[in-house]
Amino acid sequence: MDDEQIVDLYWERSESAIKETEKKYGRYCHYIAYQILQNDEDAKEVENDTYLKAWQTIPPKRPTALKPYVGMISRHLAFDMYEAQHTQKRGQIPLVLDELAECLPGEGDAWDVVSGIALRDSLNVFLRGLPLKTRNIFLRRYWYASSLAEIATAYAMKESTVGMLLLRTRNKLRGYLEKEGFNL
Amino acid sequence: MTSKEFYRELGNIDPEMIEAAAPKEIVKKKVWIKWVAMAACLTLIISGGIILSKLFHTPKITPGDTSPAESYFVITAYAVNGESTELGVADICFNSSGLSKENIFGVDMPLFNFSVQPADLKNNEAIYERFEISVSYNGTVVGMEGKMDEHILIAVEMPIQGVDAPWAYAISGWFTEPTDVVVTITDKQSKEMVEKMTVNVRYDADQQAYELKVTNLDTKYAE
Repeated sequence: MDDEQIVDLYWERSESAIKETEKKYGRYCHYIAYQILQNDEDAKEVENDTYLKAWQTIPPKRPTALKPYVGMISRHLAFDMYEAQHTQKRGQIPLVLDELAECLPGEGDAWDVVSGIALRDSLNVFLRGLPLKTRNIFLRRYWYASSLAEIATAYAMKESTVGMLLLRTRNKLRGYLEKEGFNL
Repeated sequence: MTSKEFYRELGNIDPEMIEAAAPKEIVKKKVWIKWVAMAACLTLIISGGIILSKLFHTPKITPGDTSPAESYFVITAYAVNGESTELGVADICFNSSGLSKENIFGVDMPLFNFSVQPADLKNNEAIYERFEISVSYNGTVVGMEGKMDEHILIAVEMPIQGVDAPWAYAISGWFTEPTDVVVTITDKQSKEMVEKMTVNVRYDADQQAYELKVTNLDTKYAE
């Protein structure tokens, strides 16, 4: 079933919408949550909450691409749970957060919704300016929290090369954000 | 802003990019091509403590994996630092549609003037050309482009940052018939041509490998 058909099911308030979403994107959502939480049970809980959230938001929303839509929900929910647990030191997230800290220019601490929107738009521009594979690797690491080993296997690269590519891109991002006037 | 907040904001980027980066369930496209270094050309150029080494390889097609028409070759060059530590690898690869390009640069390298000198083929059994690459730093930005089959344009830009090591380049292509690959290296700032060569690529069915031959070389930096 394609995404449009599944979204139609949500709009029709057919419960098979959730079943179809789970069939098509359950593993995807679970992967995203597991990478953050490193716990199967918690990941499953997030997965189920994702379906609920999708049910609650479609309609009025009508996402054209369901995969990233539910993926984003899973990511947010999983990270909410991660922050609530705040004791977990396992997995990739602590490393990912440390690495992302390198991208933050300046010492500013004022942050609001407007800044968030501006940052999001700038991130989109920055990411679109990257070579496709670099962008994908960057997002595998910092959006999907995949390990370097996993990324290296997926892209037939050495781990060290992946690491260096990410370092270079983080540096580039930092420079870009500074140039854009973000004092984060 | 904390890194956690930044991590959250990163979560809201364009869905299209999120989807494109998603882990794939299908085995990556390169797996079915088995790379075999059938011979290696190692040249040591010692200049101010910098050691340059190169490794070229062409894929050996495993019978049954794919037809020659669906295979492609890669010339890959490695950059190393003074301690012979591999710093990065460049591969430029094309998918079956021949219209997309990907490039991976593991590290930013400073631009060096470089020349390409075709070496003699090592008798008829040699299946690929050797390139001698010597480099010297000049700090300019270089772009490289080549054409193949008149349908595919290779364009690679090599970014520059202060890593003190020589750099080389890679070209690859996807073709079904004997093909001339024209590789042009231009200085991005001055727009002047730095190097231009024609590499004839031919698939040898008996050897199950590709034969590469430089047929024309026009270089500003010939030694």
